[in-house]
Amino acid sequence: MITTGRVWKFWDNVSTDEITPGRYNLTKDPQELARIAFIEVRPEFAEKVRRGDVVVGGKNFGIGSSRESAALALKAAGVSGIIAKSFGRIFYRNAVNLGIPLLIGDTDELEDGDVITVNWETGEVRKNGQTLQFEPLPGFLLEIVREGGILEFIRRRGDLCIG
Amino acid sequence: MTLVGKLLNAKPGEAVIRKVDLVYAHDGTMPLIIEAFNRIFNEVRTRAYIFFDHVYPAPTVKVANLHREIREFAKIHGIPVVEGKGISHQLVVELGLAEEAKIIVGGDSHTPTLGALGVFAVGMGATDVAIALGLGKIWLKVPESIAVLLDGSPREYIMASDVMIHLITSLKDREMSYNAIEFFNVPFSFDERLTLTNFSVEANAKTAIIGEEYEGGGYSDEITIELDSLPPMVAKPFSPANGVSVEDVEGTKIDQVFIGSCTNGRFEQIKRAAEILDGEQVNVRTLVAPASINVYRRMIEEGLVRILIDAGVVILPPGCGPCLGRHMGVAGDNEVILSTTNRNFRGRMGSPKAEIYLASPVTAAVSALYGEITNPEGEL
Repeated sequence: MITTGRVWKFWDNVSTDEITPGRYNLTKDPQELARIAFIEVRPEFAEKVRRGDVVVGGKNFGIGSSRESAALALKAAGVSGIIAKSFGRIFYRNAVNLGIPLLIGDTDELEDGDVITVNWETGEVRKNGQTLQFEPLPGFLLEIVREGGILEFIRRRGDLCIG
Repeated sequence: MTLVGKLLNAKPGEAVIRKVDLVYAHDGTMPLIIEAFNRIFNEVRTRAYIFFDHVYPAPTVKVANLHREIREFAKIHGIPVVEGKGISHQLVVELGLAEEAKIIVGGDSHTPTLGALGVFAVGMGATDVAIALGLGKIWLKVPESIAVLLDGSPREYIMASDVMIHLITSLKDREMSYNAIEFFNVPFSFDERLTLTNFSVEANAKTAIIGEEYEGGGYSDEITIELDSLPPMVAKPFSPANGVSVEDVEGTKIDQVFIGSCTNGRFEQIKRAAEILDGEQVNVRTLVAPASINVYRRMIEEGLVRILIDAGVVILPPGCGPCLGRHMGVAGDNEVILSTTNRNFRGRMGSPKAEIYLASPVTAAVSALYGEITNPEGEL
């Protein structure tokens, strides 16, 4: 799982109300959700994001409501993964469940528009020849992402197993 | 040992798989739950309930069609659908569904509200809820718990919301995501106890529980809140952790007041607001939504409906109301909203240009009379 793409840098405490605002969020169609991602706080995102781009946040990325539409919208928009100092806990599970890789660490060095190459399994991020180290997903969460999400993970094993 | 540790029969940090006693969700989250469920499951293997509370009755054809899909799914799987009777978390309490449960999974982030009844209740996203429905079990990482001890007695106009805005603000620089909050020595009524666990979600807690006797041991931290000295609190835009004493924002002009939601829509809370509005006239658009049809019935029986309509309040049907900005009281550009809900994120209640302040029902009611944020301790 190595991808190259541009950084879309966000601030601390990005809530799911900013990722997919409640009043636009009345759909389950992934493509429709992709078009409303960050519609109010960064209206250019949906149009300009390219496959492989990386969303980078500060503290508590994805806090707030349990709406899985927030993680699904970013996946459908082509985002390869999300890097943040920390995540809202429901968003964290939702992203892993949908097969979106996550890294945790100090994101201050990553700036909007940087082109980075990310190894989502080891946590290595390359930017202009420089290597930054982040914490990858632990144990079976990484396994879930490798398999494309928890439903596929369960389907293959015939049950929910951890460890 | 922590209450969470006892309920999950495991130590903090351990990842465990546990049987789920009840799974519920609402009209807002069910559509994606159905999508996930239908991908790999075909049978519901747990007790389940669906509540229509978020956007009900349907304001658009699109929503009406989503409601139809949910009803069809529920019919196939024999799941009861409770429509328009109130907010999911409140109805789970009123229907007694939590009584025999130890572990509850809800398709809504405020599911930990039920921790006031001593259960482990956790909010999850669509895929996890689908797994809980299809397998009757779920994986959990056992959280560390911090103990919050309430000391002394709150002053007359202090409510559970004030305690929580204070607590969330004091925890804002801590990594709380994998922590549970356990409350002890709680001097509040049943209705207000549910506010403590409900609002704990905004400290990023995984769940919250109210215990009786504090034994200590096994907690990652202990926090004491001195209730005697706690003033009325207001959370400024755009975070519930932006709490200040009401004095700091007194005089802020407001365009709309909302009293209700899973945080503060129960009978006692609406009664506290109605006592302030009795015989007076609101000076600003004021909306009240009971948390359930039972709360509404008591409001009629005990004369609160008359008091509120005579004061110029608009009473909304039981449900989430304008909390999530989808219908009935959506905030316009540059409007200032004072709300008894638990979230004031940018864009939460409508326009991203609207400013949302959070406060208790008492502070909201007295502010409605003056059209500006007002200190109940100064005016009442």
